[in-house]
Amino acid sequence: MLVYDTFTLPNGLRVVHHYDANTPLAVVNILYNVGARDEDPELTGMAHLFEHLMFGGSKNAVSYDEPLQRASGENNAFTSNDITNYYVTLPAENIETALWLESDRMFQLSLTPKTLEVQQGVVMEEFKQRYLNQPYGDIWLYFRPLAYTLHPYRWATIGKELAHIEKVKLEDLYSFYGRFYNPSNAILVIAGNISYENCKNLVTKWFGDIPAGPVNANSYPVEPEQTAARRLELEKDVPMTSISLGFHCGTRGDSTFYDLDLLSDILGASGSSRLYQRLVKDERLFADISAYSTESLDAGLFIISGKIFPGITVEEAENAIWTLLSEFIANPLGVREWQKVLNKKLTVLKYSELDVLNKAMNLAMFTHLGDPNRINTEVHAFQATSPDSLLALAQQLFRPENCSTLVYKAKA
Amino acid sequence: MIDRSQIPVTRIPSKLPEINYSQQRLDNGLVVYCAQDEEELVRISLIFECGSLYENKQGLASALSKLILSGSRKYSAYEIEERLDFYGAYTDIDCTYSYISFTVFCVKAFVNPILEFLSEVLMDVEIPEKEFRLYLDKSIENLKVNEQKTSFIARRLFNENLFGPGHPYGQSMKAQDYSALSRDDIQAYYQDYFALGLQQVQVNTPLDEASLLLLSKFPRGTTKTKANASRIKEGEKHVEFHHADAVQASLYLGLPCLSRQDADYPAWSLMVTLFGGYFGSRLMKNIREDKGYTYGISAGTHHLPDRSFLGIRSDVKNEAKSECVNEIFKEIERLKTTPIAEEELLTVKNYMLGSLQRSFDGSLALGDRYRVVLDHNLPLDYYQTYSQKILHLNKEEIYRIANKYLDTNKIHVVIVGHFEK
Repeated sequence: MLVYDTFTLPNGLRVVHHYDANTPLAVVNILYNVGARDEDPELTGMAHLFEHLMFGGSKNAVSYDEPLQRASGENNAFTSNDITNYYVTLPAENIETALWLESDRMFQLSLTPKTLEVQQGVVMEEFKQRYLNQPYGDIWLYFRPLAYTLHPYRWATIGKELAHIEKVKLEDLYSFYGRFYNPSNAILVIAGNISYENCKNLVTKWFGDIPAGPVNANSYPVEPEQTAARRLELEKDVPMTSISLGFHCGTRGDSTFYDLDLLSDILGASGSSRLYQRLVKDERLFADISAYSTESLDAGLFIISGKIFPGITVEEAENAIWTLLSEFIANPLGVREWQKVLNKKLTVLKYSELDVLNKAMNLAMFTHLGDPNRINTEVHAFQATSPDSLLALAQQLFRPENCSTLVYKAKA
Repeated sequence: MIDRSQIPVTRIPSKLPEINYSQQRLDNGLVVYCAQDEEELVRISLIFECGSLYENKQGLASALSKLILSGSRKYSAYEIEERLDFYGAYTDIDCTYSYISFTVFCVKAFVNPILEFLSEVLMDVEIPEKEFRLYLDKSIENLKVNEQKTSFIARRLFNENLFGPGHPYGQSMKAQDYSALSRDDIQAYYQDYFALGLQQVQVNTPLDEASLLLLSKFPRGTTKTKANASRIKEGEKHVEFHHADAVQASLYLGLPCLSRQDADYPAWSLMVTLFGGYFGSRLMKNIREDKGYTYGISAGTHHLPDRSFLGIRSDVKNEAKSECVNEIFKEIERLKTTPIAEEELLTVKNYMLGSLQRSFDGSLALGDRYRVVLDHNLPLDYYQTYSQKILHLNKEEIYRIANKYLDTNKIHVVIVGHFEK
């Protein structure tokens, strides 16, 4: 049982505190309610680019990183389609440095042409390094717009194309900052070796006088129900053909998420999973295959993705996946197999409690999902699933008309 | 309104927790190292001294590590994987030059069933031909994927030129090396090395008597002779490799350097951190934060048995690849000609001491530190001494170290990218 407290400042900043006496460290984690789904379709990659700009210094801190390093701290951040999350780990006695830096850049960030120009360069190199200069690196750039026609999940966090990042202007940054970066649109988690009183005093001291701002009230176009199978075939200079299937599924917040998560483990998360066992081990069609879900705040995707051995046709490989799925949904699921993935999940959940940074991030995410206490109740939600509930979900998902298929074909 | 121009006061973390592991010698002679604090999540590492320095044919140790759960006389691969999954176990099998370490993560309740099962499976491996074939086919295909990556090619060329292609550290698996392996080779390697038993066990929490009894069923291995890793035959100092499809260039530079045992190591380590070991490093400031030519650039010291080297790597904008290499050399010259400012020295020191503190936080992190101490035959208070030395280093010392060890004539440069003909 993880114990925490919450309070909200008058400016709307929601704060979660968790005391951990076993570490000399403190974590300051800030989640801003803004992600790639909030972007203008003609200026994608903006949320992530902005994350880079957040390190360009603020009114009272010319550099963000240097004072933090001087305080023996370390920090990083990530942007997803849904959120932007910043985190700092440092000796608990130095926590004020982190609060000073985080509050100053929330309040009065410096946005300069030089920082913009340099970070545009950095992000374009990141785009190349992760998506373009890697075999198979751009699969998601094609897959998203295939599976989503309307919802902003149709583009990747990095952006649709390099040109979007190149054309961002300083005015765009100012308006983005004004819309999303303020206490009313953020969740602050303080975890580690710091008492509740100390936390409350220091957070009030550094964040209390930042004016309230707009809460992100964006509503996102609902992806229309898919009614026919979709397919895209590309030919690329890669050694093995890759096949990806995406099925529309629920959200991270849905009660069926736990079934979904365990279902992906049963099908394709380990050596004894269904897909791996049959399609790699028994039939030697695939060199590798896995299943997972995107765990997004709006309706996500359940992905099955694998690479096929040379000499195996796309048709053979695809048929094998569908045969396996059809058999899976037509037969009862044994208790042992359900218990197996549940046991593995319990190990993962225990593992996630070991690290104070991990606990802080999870508290922020669950608060954003509506209830920090889900950090404690998730385990029960997993235990409350059953072989039947997993199977019922599988029957809903694995229909050809709910599926988008991307074949990333190796050039002959 | 609070005065935000007042920077909060900070303190440097100076005390590291002690590595307080118990050592128990079991009836079979096996030494079990356990941390003292109770944890619900257990990590057990079973360490077998049969890493790739023991092999007489390239790839045997690595192949064995990948096939160690592929079957035993009693169980099929599926039965083994399914059972471990059922116990909620996550396994991580690491093959280094020195050892194959079999690490398992699980909750406390499953420790004993897992140990009992592993003692049966790991000591009775019989690799099925079919599993071996699949391993080979997968490895060859994955190699083709890796060989398309500029960063993979750069690392391979760097190792070949730093150590020589015939040296264990200079070798890397090619398709023909995989084809030269047979199932019987690997099975024989298993019998001759792995099956002799394990050398030690490391656990992040105390084990009960029943667990220790189960561990005492494992045979204890005897130490064998390793390959000689001392004969190095250096290759080219400057290698350019044309990759037609590259949209970025991968750089890999470096030179041999001192080991952790050396009295100069703390100063060297600080200098490397300042140069390219953290986000605020000179390389990051120059190539990323000033020029925007890369997403990241880093320099770090790599420790192999009896050899250490400095490696500098980055994926950079293809058009700027030569300029980046020049800038790296300029930064090295700067270390050798201009003493560092007190401000910068203080920042690096504080950062390093914080980083050390984080690397001791929690039972898994502490276990990782202990592993380094054991692997490198360091004294138990190594990190305490190291952190005190870092704290007291001065700029003259860093200047001396830069001039003593950063011999630019010894630097190997590898550039893999698109070169105009």
